[in-house]
Amino acid sequence: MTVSVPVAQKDMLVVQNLKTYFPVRAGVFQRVVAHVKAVDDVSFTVREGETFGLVGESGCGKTTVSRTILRLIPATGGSVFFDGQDVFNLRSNELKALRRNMQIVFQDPYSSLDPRMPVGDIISEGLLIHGMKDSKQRNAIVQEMLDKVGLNPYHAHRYPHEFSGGQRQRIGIARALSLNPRFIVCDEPVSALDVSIQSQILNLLKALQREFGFSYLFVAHDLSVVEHISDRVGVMYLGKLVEVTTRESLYEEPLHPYTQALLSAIPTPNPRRRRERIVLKGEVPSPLNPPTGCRFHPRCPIAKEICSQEIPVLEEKRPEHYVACHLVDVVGKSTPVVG
Amino acid sequence: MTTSATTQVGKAAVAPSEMTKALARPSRSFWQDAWLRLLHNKAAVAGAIVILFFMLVAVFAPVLAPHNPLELNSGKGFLPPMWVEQSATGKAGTPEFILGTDNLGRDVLSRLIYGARVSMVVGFIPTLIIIVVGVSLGLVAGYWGGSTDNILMRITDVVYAFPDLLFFIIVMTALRATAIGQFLNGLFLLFVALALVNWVGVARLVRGQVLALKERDFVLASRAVGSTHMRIMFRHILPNSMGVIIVAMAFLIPGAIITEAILGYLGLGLRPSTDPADIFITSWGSMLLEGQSAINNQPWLLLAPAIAVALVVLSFNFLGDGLRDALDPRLRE
Repeated sequence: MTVSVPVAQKDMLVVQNLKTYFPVRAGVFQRVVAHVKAVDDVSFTVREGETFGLVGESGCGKTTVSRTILRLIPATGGSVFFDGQDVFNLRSNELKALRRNMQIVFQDPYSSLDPRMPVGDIISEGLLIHGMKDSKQRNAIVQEMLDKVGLNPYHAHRYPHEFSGGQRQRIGIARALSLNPRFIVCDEPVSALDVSIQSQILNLLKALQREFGFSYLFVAHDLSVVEHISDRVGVMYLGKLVEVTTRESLYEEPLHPYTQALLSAIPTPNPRRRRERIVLKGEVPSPLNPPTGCRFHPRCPIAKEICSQEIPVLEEKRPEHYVACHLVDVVGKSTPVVG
Repeated sequence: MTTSATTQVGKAAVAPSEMTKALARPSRSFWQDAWLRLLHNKAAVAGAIVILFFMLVAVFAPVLAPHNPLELNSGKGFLPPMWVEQSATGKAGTPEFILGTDNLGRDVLSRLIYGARVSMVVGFIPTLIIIVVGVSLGLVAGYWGGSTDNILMRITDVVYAFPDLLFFIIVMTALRATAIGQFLNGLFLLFVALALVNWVGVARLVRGQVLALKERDFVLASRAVGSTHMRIMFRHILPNSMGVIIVAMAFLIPGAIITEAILGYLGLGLRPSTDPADIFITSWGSMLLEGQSAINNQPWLLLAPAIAVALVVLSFNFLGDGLRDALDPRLRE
């Protein structure tokens, strides 16, 4: 079903050394006393028409990455290029124009729709902002979008509270689609939904991608969801990318010990099948004061001395397979992830 | 011809198909829902009716008042209400003065009717100023945060820390003789004093609301499609804060009416007028002051304005409770 990605596909979104720190303020004068390094030096690319899955446990910074790319949160450092355009250095009118091309679907379908606005207004807000003053024209697009996401035309006059979670998520998707974007961030779009609804929404997202050809940055914590939808996958741990590769090689040959532990935790449908479960020790350390060297080393089952001293670089250890780990042998030539 | 043709076309374009028509029940907005919930609340509806009644009384006072409230009916002072056959001083009520007369022979009912004007104006006008100032500053502080927020919130802390009644008394006493103290028989000064004290509560309330709302995903979504800050503030955050603002308003009004009554009783409110051209001749607070000296023998002079104040304040509180329940269903139970 899923089309495998040709290697020569064009890069649409290039993220280079992205850093997002949140200041921690204290005292009477609210001075900055420390930084939470939510995203620390993350680089990856999203290609034309592909789905890039970003996985990691809660608090690892994956949502922050997606929001920083869209400039909903200010970046601390690094750069993001969309079609060669430097996203962090745009004048306000250029940024507004860019927003047509980059949209977002949120995790929580209850907080992502304005409860005081009818659904039609929610979907067409972007059209109005981008200069479509004629309400008949806007209405026509709203009807079309509702149809595309599997809702009825009369739903445009309803308010968000009249819909179920799955329907609300469809409204959120319709809003993202209305501007006809080329890139959509899906920030855990199914994790708040029932399992039966999850697959409906995932299939809708895939069908829409086939129809319109846009790229997704798909953020999730559920590895089976990511396997279902992604072409390539990036695994994050504590603000850093530890592994980036195609879906096939990630699930067949995970190289980073963290990825291996994550994959071993996926429940299998067959209760008789025994599988070795890698149980990680301890808790995720605070991003306020991350461990030295490899951030994973305090919990890593195979950590050596070097791991606590040097920060591993994300390197191409296998073709199309980038890993940030000192202990993974390089086969062939190593190149940095973004060139 | 042309108009009907276009409406026909317009209707045909949006008309749901046969199948969906059955499902398409009328959709209710938040405000329609809230209105229906309010109508189901008997106390709130009763309160609203009483308030409406007093508003009409205030507007049509000259028509409704049976006597000139300034007219001194010599020899007819201290008459009890019409249903009292013999007062402590041996006088009998007459239907001419339904609620009796005061020491100077002025009709109590007529004065009560004119007094409604002051209470209504004191209730609504300062509240409008408070809402406009409080909402604007609360929006700005909450939305922009940072040092703007810090400065505004420290100012509200200072205003909060000052005892309200003491402030009113000082202002009304100190500025009584000045031009603004004279304006509208002292009412204008009262408006200013009320607004100065009460905007902080609204500003804080709105700020808190904005802080919570601006982190919601629908605000981010609106930014992601390219909304300006102005649009986000006025199309998303303000409409979602209207509920608490309206409820705050419903409780500010009775507070202002009580304050006027207290200040009037202390002789610091509206100064009683003797000029028939004045719109505001007397207030319920001033009537309380005039009535208290005769409390043993002529209790109606005190009871009439006291009951009027209590009734209006109670009605506003009922309406406020009803509005709160209607606008924020989560607060019920």
